[in-house]
Amino acid sequence: MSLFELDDVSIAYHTRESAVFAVNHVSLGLESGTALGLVGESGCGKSTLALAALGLLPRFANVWQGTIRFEGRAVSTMADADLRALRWRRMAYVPQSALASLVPVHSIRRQFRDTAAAHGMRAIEADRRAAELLRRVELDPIVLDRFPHELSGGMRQRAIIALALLFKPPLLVADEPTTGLDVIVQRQIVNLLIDLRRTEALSLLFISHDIGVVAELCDRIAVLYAGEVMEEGPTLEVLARPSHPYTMGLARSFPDIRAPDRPLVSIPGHPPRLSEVSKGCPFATRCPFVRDLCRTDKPRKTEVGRDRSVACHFADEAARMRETATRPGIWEEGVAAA
Amino acid sequence: MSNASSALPHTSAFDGRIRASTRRVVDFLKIAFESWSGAFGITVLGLIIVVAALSPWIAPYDPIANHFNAAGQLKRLEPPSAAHWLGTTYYGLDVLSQMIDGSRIVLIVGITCASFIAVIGTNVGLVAGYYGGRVDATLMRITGLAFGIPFIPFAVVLVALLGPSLWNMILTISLLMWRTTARVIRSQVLSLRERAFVKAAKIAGASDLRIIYIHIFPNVLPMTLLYVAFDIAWAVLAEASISFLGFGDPNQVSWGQMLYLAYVSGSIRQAWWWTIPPGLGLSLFVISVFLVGRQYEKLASPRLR
Amino acid sequence: MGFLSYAGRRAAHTAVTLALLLVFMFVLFRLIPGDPTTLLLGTGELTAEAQQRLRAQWGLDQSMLEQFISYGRNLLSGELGLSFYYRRPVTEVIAPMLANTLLLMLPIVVLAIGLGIAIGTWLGWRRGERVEELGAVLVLVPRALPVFWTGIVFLSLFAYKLQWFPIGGIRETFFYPESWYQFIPYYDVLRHLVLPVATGVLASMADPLMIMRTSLIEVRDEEFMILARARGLSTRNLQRLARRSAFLPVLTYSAIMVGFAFGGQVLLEVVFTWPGMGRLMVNSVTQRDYPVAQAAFFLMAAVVIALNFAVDLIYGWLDPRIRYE
Repeated sequence: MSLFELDDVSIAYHTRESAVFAVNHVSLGLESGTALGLVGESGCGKSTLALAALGLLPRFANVWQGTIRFEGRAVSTMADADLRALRWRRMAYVPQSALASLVPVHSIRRQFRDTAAAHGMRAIEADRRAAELLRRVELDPIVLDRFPHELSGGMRQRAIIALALLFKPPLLVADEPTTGLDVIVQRQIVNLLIDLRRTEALSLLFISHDIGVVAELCDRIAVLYAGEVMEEGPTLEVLARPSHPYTMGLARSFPDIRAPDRPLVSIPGHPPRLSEVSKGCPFATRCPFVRDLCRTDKPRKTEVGRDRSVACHFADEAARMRETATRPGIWEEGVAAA
Repeated sequence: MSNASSALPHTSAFDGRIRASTRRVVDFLKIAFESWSGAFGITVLGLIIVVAALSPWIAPYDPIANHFNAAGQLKRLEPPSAAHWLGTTYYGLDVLSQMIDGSRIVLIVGITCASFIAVIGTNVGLVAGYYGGRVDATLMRITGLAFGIPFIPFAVVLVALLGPSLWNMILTISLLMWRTTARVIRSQVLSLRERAFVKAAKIAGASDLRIIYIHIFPNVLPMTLLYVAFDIAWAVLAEASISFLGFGDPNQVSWGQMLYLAYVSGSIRQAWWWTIPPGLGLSLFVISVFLVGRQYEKLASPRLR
Repeated sequence: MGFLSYAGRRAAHTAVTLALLLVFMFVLFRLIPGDPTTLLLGTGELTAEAQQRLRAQWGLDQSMLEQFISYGRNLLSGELGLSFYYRRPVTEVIAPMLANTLLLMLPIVVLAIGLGIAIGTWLGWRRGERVEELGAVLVLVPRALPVFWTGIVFLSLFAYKLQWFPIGGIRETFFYPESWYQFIPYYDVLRHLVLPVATGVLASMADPLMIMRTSLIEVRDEEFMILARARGLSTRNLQRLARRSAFLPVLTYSAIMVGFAFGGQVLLEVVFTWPGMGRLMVNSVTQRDYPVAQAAFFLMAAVVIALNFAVDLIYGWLDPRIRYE
C-alpha cells in the first residue's frame, strides 16, 4: 500500500459561468520513505494537487472525480473533523511563501504553541519541541520570540520547515519551498531537506518548476502539463532518457555544467487555457513531433521500462525522438525543419 | 466616397475613444441592472434627476406660496387631499411642490460638493503619495487635522460666521470632506509609485507633473469615482443636517429645511405628511447612491464579486 | 525598534496636530465680524472689571503672536473664558453638559462597534450565501437614513403615538416611581436614553459592520489562513484568528467614528432635547455666546485627536508590523 496515492483524480474550479479543470485524470503514487517530485510550468496544476492532498482546496473548488488516499484512507471524501486529526500530525505542508503563510501578528513561539494546542500538546512540551526543531534546522531558538517579518527569507523558510516537523509526520508536502530565495539560501534549504530525509525517514511530495532541485532531492519525478501527467518514473532515468517530447524540451531548457556552450531550448508557445478542454494530447499545439492522431485522441498511459510510464501515442519511438530533440532547430520550426 | 475615407483617419482616434467610453458606460449599466439592487438604485436616481430637471414645470404650485381656503384662512397643516397630494405645512405651503423643488438642491449640492471634494482630495492624495517626504508629512498633518475636526460643529460655526447661503454650505462641506478621498488616493499612489511603468516613465525623462497626471492619475481614477459617488451622498446628508439645525439657506427650499420647519413648529406630532416625505426622499437618494456605488465597485474590483 | 519608540513618535505627531488645531481655531474664530475682542468680551454683556481681567488673561492688547501663545496656553490648561449668556465661567457651564453628552455617546459608540463587529463577522463568514447578499444590502438602509429624521420618526411613533418613552430631555422634573421596576436606580434617565441611543446605534452601526465584513472576507482568503487550516486548527480557532486580523481596520475606523459621532451627537441632542454639549454648541452659536461655542468646539476636536492617538497606540500593540511607521 502506498503512503499516498492519487487515483484517477480530476479537480475542478467552479466559476460563475462554468467549471474549469485544473487537474485531469491524474494517477500517481508515493511510497513510504521516498520522495516524488512534481514538475511543470506555472498553471499546470501542481499546486492544486498539493492543496487537494491536504484537503485545503478553496470553497469554489473540489475533487470532481477519483480518490485521493493517504495511508489507505480516502481523504478526498473525508469529513473535516477526521481530516483535522490527520493534518500536521500525519501530513504537513511547507508553503511557498513563509512570509505570507505565517500569521503576521503572532510570534514564532505562538505559531508553534497554537499548532500544538490544536492537537492536544501542552505549551511547555511545544516550547521544548520548538527549540529542539529550530536547532535541527540550524536556527537559534532566540528566533522563537521574533515575528515573521523580522526574519530573513531563509530563516523563515527554515522556521516553517521546523514547524512542519512538530509531530514527526510521515509525509511532507512542499510546494515550491525554494522558489523566490536566492541561490545560496536555496542550497541550504535543499541540503536541509536531503538531511532530514535521511535522518527522519520522511516521505516527500516536492512540487517545483526547478528541475535541477528535483533532480537532487527526489527519487521519482512526475511531469505535469495542463493538469495531466505526461511522464513519470525514476528521476535520473526520466531526465537522462526522457520518453515524452515535453520532458525532452524541459531537460534541454536547463544549462548543463558539463556542456556550458550548449544552446538552451525554449519551447515556443504557451500552455493551453484551462477553460479550453482539448480532445487530444494537451501538448499537441507545441510538440515538434505532433501528428494528426495527437490532436484527436488522448494518449493513454504506456509502460516503458521498469516503474516508468508515459502518456504519448508514439512512446515506442522515444529513442528516435530523443535523438532529434537534441537538435535545437526543431523546437522553433518543428520536425520538418530538422 | 473618397471624401469620406479621407476624413475618417483624422477623426477615428477621437471616435474610438468615444466609442470606448460609451461601451464602458453600457457595461456599467448592464452590470448595474444585473442585480435588483443596482436596478433599483439607478431607477431612483434617474427619477430624482428627471424631477429636478423638470421641477418648474411639474410642481403643481409655487413652493413658497401660501394657500388660503374659501373663508380666507391659512390652510395650516392640512392632511393630503385632492388639491394638495401631500398636504400643507404649518405655514400653508404645499408639501408636494416643496418636495419637487427640493430635489434640485439635492442634485446641486451633491454634484458640486462631490466635484470639489474629488478635485481637492485626489490632488492632495496624488501629490502627497507621489512626492513623499516632507511634502507628504505636511499634507498628511493637514489631513489629520481635517479628520480631527468634527464636521457638524465646524459647519455650524462656519455657516454662522459666513452667513447661511447655499454657496457657503457647499464651501463648508467641501472644505472638510476631502479628507477621506485624500487618504485613500494617497495609499493607492504609494503602491502605484513603485510599479514598473512609473519607473519606466521616469527613466524616459518624463517630468513629475506628467507622471502624476498622465500615468498615475488614470489608475486612481476608478477609486476616485467610487468615492465621488459616496461623497455625493454624504454631501447631501450634510447639507440636510445643517439645514435641520436651522442654519440652512432661508431662500432655498431644501428637504432638510422642511424637516427643520416641521420640527420647530411643533408639527412632528401629527403632520406625518410633512415629516415623512423629505426624510424618505433623502434616504432613498442616499440608498440609491450606495447601491449604484456598490455595483460600480464590483465592476472596478472583480475580486469581491 | 519597539513599542516605546513608536509611541514616542505618535505622541509627537499628536502634539503637532493639536498645535495645528489651535492655529486653525485661532484663525477661524477671528473671522467673526467686528472687533477681534468681540470673541471674548462680547459687546457689553460683561462688567467692566470682568472685561479687564479677560483682557489681561488673553493678552488682547498685545501682538498677534503673543495673543496666540496666550490663547494656546489658556485653552490647554482649561481656562476657557467667560460665557456671555450665562455670566459664568465657561468651564462651569460646559462641565455638566459634557457629562450628559458622554452619557449618551458612550453607549452608542460601544453598542455600534460591538454590534457592528458581531454582525459583520457573521455576515463575512457566510460570504457567497444568499443570506449574506441580502444582509449586505439591508445594512445600507440604516446608514442612509438621516439620523435626525430617524429620531423624529421614533419620537412621533414611540413617544407621541405609543407613549412608551418620554418625548425628550434627560429626566422628568418630578418623577415618582410607581410600579416595582421604576424603582431601579436611574430608571428615569435610562428611560430617556432608550430612544436617542437606539437612533444613534442604528445610524452608526453600519460602518463598522461593513468594514468588519469586508475585512473578514479578505482575511479569509489570505495565505496564512490556508496554512492555519493545514496546521489543523479548529473552525473556532480559525474564526478567532481571522477576526483578530480583520479587526484591525475596524479599530482604525473607530477613531474616525468618534469624530462622526460628535457630529451625529449634535443632531441627536437637538431632536431629543438632550442637555449636552452638542446642543449647547448650536445654541451658543445662535446666541452669539462665542466663548462657549469655541470651548465646545475645542473640546470635541481635542477628544477626537486624543482618541486617534489612543487608537494608534492600541493598533501598534496589536500589530507589530506597524511599529516601523
